[in-house]
Amino acid sequence: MKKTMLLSLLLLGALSAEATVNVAATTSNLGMLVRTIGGDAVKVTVLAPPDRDPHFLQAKPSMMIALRNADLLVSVGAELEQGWLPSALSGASNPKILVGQPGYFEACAQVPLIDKADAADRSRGDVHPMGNPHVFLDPERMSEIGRALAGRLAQLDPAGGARFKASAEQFATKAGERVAQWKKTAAGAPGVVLYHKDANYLLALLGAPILGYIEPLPGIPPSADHLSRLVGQLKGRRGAILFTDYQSAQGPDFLASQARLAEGPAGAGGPAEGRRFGLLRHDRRLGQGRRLGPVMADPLLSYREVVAGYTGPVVGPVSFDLHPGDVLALVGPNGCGKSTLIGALTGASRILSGEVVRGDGLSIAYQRQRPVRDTDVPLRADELLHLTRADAEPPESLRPLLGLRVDRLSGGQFQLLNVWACLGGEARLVVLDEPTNNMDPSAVRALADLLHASRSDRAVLVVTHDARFLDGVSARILEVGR
Amino acid sequence: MRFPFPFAGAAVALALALAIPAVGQDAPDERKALEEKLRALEEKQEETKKALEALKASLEAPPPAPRSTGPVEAPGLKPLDLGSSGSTGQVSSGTSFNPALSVIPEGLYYNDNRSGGAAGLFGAADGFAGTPVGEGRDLSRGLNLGETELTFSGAVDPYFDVTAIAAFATDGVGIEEAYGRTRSLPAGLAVKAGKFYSDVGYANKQHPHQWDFVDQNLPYEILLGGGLNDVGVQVTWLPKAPVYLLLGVEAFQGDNPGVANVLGPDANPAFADGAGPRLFTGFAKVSPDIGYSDALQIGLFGGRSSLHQEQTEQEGLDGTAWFAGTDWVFKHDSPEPFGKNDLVFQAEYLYRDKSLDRVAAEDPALVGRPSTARQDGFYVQGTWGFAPRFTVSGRYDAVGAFVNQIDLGDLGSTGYDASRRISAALTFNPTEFSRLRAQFNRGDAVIGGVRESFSQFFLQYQLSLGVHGAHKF
Ligand SMILES: [Zn+2]
Ligand SMILES: [Zn+2]
Repeated sequence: MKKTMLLSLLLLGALSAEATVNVAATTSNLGMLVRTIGGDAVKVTVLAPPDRDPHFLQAKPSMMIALRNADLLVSVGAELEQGWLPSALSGASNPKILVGQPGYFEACAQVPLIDKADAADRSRGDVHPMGNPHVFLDPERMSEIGRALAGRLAQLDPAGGARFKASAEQFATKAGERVAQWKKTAAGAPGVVLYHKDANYLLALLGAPILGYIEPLPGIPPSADHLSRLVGQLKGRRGAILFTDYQSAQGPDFLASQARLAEGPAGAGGPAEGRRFGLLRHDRRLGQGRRLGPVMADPLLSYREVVAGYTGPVVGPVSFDLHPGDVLALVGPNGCGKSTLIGALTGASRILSGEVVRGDGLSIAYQRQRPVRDTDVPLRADELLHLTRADAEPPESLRPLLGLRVDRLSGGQFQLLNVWACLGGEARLVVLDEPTNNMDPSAVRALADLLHASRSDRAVLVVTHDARFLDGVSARILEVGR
Repeated sequence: MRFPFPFAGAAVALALALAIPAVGQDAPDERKALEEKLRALEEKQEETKKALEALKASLEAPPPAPRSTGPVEAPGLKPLDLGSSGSTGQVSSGTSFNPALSVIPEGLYYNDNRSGGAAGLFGAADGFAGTPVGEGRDLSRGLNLGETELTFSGAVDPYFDVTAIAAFATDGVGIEEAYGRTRSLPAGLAVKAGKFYSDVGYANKQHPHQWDFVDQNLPYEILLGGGLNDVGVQVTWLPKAPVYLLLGVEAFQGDNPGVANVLGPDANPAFADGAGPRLFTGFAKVSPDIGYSDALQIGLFGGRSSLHQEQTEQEGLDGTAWFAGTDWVFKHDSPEPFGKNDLVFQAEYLYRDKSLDRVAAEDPALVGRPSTARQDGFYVQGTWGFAPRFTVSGRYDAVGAFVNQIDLGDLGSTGYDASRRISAALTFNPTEFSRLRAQFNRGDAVIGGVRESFSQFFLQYQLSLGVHGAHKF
């Protein structure tokens, strides 16, 4: 009797250990979707990081072992991963996740596709003959894929079925809300130049016209000829250029400078117009997972119609969302209320209307505008970083300072060190209040480097009266006041 | 509280005064508490208001609309009717029952400073002269059409995949590979049967159009007959483990110039006639996970052939052979576009031992005497994507590199020098489907104790038509 009980306990243990579904997702945005819907019931391995082009990867042994260990493969499909996934799959010797099995889930097989080619002919470039596979930038299709995925996870783990379904619906609702918001933001946008046909679903959804492509043909890098033709077509027009981290910036930069498109934060079109299509204009680096993937997950911090002040209102209403990987700059002249806005987060000012929503368990590192400085402190810079638990590897520009005593640093150097004390730690949200104060031009450049080196799972909120130093950083700009 | 060192106290004070990463430490606690309370009250009021409004709305609302399927029912988009757990299908342009098809033609321009004979020098090098080696690339000076490869592949049924690759040359057609492989064996097992490239080493299973150079590396060319490709059966096992470890064994009929050269009694009545399978191999590959951007694979392999025969004008040799080696590959995959700054380093070492008996000879006194050859070879090569779509490659390879010993029993033993080569290649890949390459080789083969040096120059184009071929690791 005792023995059987022990046995059944063991079995129970085995069963509950078995309950985690091992999922291999080809791209990070699909990984996000699986995690959002599966929650604790899934263990996700993402095969390609967000800074890689999923068209051009190589099947590596590490992918094969991930596929070998997987109960479910979630891929984009429609031949996007054609160059590497079949080879990795065949190397994985895992019959559970082959096409047609419950362990095979292709996002593109769950939704209707656009841009089906009538003929598969590679003289037109590396076309996707079965339709545009870049569905992961479409919140509506992702919602639908999420629903199908919930059903599939329920098939593999029936106990979690109801939960998966609820998560999928929640995801769809949130995506729907955000789409509504984006549509408003993008209304009247003059148009977008894409690098590849990878944001077509999204732009169709937002009603933003596509003005052209940086690539002359899919998979072919831009030629001078093609770019100058684009410049000719677009000269003087307004619009935005969207490209990802793994697409070369050369073509977009050339086009932006030649055609004088309003690209990047320093657009010539004036702030009013800028804000009209802010989403498209500022999110110029649309990392496949870094931007739009997390955008559909929960933000770390949301300001919703926030009016902040002390006895009376000073600034607002202001709304923005901060997602992992974001750098958002609140820009405006001194006295415009930027710091009051930040105060609404730290408690230094009052929220008179609207709300500030923090993500669950959000940890914040805050760098004050004027850090207190003692005149005689026998402490080295690296010791200071250690004390403040900024344990990440400091970037190149900071290394010369590490062995120096902090009281011997110049004001700008000390400021830099303080910034890294925030960025080098574990906090998910870093708030920098006027970080360029006291800085000479070389320190300002170093600051941009530090921001660039910031981890992709955190967000940075910068308050500054001068956003020029952010030119090299993929930051969004929010103008405050005026 | 006392601090053991004066400045440690100062440090803590400083850290506090700076309040740098003031995690959660935003404002005086008291005030914060008040703020929280105020917010909570406001929230409560807001909630009550909402609840009231909802109640009011539900009283006035029209009957609920049919269930909305959410935001997906935007104009023009209807969800596919797929049942509750979604489609397990694949969106593919490979038409349903037809095999995937690809054609890869290749053309070459070739020249050397040896009146076209440079490629044959290594086969005549000391220690290898008179023994069977790989056929190499049979190129005449000037324009050449290489082999055109025609590949068919697809799933036969739920249990088997088939791949068939034919090589069309100007003088005929050969079967390069034709094999079936299991799809659904449990426990990470897979069985392959047919004619195929062995998985020993790293470069062995690569087809010529996957090489980083126009020509095969020297150890494979001279010691393994150009590569191990034979009729046989392979079993591989990929255990479920946190690290990639692939184990495999193979049984081949045994037909390879380098290690299983079988001529039979027809060539020489003194030769044995052994039944197959005569060549058995084994390999292990391990690949620790070193991050997304890098991959490292280390392999060990070996094989033994129960029959190896060599026939020259003077004598016939009959016996056995075995080989062993190790392969190392490191790849860096850069996030930059079109292969810019991608890196590949690979190196292999191969050792071969032939234990033969002289079964026939012009001089009858020599019959029955042994002839043992212990020889090795290696290559190291690297490829760097120095610009988008452009790579530059370098290779150094040698045979008889560390050992090149022919042992004739009591007639004595002779050691020979190494023959070696250095190569550089520049490759342009306009797309994944086309490739242009220029390559220069400089080498010297030791022939009769004299270093015979040579230079070779190649231009090559390869075009790949049809389905998107998979890039194997
Ligand atoms: Zn594409
Ligand atoms: Zn081939």
